[in-house]
Amino acid sequence: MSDRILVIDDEKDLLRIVAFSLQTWGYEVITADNGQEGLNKISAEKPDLILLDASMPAMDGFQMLEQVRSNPEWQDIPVIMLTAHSDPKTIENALAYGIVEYITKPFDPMELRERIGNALSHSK
Amino acid sequence: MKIANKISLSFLAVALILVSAAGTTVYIIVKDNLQKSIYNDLATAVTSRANHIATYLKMLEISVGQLTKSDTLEDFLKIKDREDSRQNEVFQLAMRRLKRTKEANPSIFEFLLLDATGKVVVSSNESSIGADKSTDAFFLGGQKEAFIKDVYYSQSVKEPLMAVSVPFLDSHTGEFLGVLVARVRLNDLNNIVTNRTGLGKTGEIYIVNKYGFMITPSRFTEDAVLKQRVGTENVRRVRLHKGREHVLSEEEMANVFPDYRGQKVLGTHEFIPQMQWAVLAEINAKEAFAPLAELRRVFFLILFIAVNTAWLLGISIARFISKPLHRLHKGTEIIGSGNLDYKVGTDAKDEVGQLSRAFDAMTDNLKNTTTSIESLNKEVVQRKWAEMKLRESEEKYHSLFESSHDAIMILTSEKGFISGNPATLKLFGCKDEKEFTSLTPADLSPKYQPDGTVSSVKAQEMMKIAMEKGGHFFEWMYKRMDNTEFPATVLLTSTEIKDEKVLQATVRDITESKKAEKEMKEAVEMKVKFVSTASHELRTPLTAIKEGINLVHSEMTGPLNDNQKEFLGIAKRNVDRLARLINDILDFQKICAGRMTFNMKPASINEAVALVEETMRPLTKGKGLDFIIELDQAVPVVNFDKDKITQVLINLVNNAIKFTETGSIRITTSRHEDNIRVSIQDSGCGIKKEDIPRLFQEFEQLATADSDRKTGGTGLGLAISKKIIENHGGKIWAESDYGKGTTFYFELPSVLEAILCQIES
Repeated sequence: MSDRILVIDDEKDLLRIVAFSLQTWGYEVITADNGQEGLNKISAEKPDLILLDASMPAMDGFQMLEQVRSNPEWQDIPVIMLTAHSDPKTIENALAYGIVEYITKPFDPMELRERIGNALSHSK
Repeated sequence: MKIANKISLSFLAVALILVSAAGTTVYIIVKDNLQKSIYNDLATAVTSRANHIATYLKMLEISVGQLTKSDTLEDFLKIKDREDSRQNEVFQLAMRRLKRTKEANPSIFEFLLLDATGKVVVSSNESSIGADKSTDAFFLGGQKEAFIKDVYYSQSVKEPLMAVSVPFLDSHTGEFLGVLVARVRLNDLNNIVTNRTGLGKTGEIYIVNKYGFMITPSRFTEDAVLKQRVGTENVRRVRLHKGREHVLSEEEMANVFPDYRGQKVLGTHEFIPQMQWAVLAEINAKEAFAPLAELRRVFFLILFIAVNTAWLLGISIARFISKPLHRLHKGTEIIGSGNLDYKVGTDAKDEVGQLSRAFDAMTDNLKNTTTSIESLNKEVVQRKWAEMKLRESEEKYHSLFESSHDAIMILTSEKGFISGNPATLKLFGCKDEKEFTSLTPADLSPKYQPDGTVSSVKAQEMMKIAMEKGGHFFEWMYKRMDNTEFPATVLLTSTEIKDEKVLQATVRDITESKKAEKEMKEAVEMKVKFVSTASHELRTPLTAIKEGINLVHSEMTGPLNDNQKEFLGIAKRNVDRLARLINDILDFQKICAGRMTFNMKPASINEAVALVEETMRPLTKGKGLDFIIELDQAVPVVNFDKDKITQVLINLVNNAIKFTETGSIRITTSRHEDNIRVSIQDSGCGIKKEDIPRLFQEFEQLATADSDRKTGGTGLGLAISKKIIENHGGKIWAESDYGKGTTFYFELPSVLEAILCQIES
């Protein structure tokens, strides 16, 4: 069975591109375009990995991550964060939340594929 | 004691005295009259009874006396003397005569005919014949003239009787033959006295004999005749005065005293001298004076009412009088506590009113006096204060002068420098103050100022301005003793020292700040240039990308599959967005650097709105929104840049469409005071109150229901709009009801004042 990846991003264009790429690479893809929907999908679909955009309105990636990590059932789901900010301090903060990977935009699709592969193999 | 109480009490006392006096007088008069009238009634009754009794007695005497004129009886007495054979016959005649007379007069108990020796010879009652009455009072008393024996108790008949005896004389010779006696029952007498007409319920008339015993029946006591002793005041007076009553005053005649029963009675009397009887008329005082008791009740009622009325009247009058007094009192307290502005202010015409007005006048005078004293005191204090301040400020000035980091110098246009503080000497590099004061302003300036004017000429001009205006601030290029130059600000103020008009110059070296200013300007310019260049540089590759994508997307390079077409569409859309973003950044930068040119021309805001309507209507239609335009045709034509304002309008309408799913968008123009106001109202999701202040900040994309980025915004639209409106001298703002819609307003001034945006990045 293929791994199930939840992609959360408020930019629908980007969401479409990433989803398409992941499907091409053989993953099952679930998408959400805001934090709350993301949380609902985690609860409903039990993804194997979460690809999370850092800057979103209403609930940003960090607030969402906090909620994911505070739930014991979801603590072990690997999270890869996508962000337009390349500030080292932000990256450091994000790592402190216990995410696995941190990818800055714009990103190389091949790099993304490799990171996802790594994260999934580590968690197993 | 309060005045009110005093007045009330006075009223009460007056009322009491008046009512008491009047009442007592009336009472006494009424009592007197009443007593008199009762007495008169009594007196009338008693007199009539007494007359009646006297008449009755006289009548008895007469009727018995007439019987002595009887021949039969005379015959009998004479025959008897001679032992006549006719004796028995005459005796029978005499007997019959007496009997007949007795029968004719029911009150006669019996007739007795005594012979000269006092022996009963004939009687209406046979059993009495032969009795010796020679010692009886009626025989003894009746020998010479008619005699009435006082009431006595007859043992034989067991009832009180009285007797009338008349001497029997020979009708020819006048020789004493005997005595005719009539023993009389008291019925007639009793009838006379017990007729109680006009005596009320308790009045009675009775007779007391000379021994003090009642001889007629009492109205109250049973079996009183000859048993009830009467020793009352009434009887005492009768005995005292006997027949002389008429000389006594009425008061003495009518008296209130206890009667034989001990009851208080009002009584009077008559005396019957013949019998030494006292005829007494008495009426119970209680009954007699019953109208007086009634009068007393009425009197006390009147007294009660009068006292109460007086009290109430007293209180109300007292209030009426004391109210203004209270006000006056209150006024004195208030004024006493220092409030001289208080006015008692009664307009009553009476003395209290006069007093209060006099009081107010006094307060005014007092206030004027106090105020003048106060102002005098104030002036003294102010002067002292001013002196102190002057001394203080002189000292302060001196120490400031000496210790100031700013160069402070005193000069006049004629004498040049008069004095300079240590900072001045240091600034210009002078050895001491003497060297400094030997210089002229021109000595401390280069020949020409940066604007090309001759320093000495300009210096005179500056000093003149300062003297005229009292002060002048300007920049000046100075020259030190070592001939190096430096820029400075100068504050020239005209002042007086010892009655001489001088100028004080405060000079501050601004070499450093000039340098910093220059550096800053350069940095800003550099940044603007950088952003501008970068943006332009970005545009070049962006154009290539955009056109390249367009080329492929339009399938000019060959057919595309669906995925290719979709992702190229995404790319195209985002490239367009990037291009917009770069344009916005450039615009924003330009406007902030003051490089955006505004083409200000008189134009009609309504025309601009109409143009925007035309452009935007397809978009509103596409989303199913009502697009309402309300133009006020009276808005004036003003100066504005039509393109820029149109840009603002499009931006605002665009935003409105973006955030409105159903309902309407309404553009309104109106005149508001001197301004033109445009409002763009939507029925969209609205903005939270706390977010409104951030609306116009650059790159702020609010966390509204939908992301701005989703709708392709750059986050600069409102910031640019704000700059444009502010450049027109207008203002822009938003009001929102969260969840119901937002209204953006902007106003353009009808009299445009060029306000240039001097914003540092």
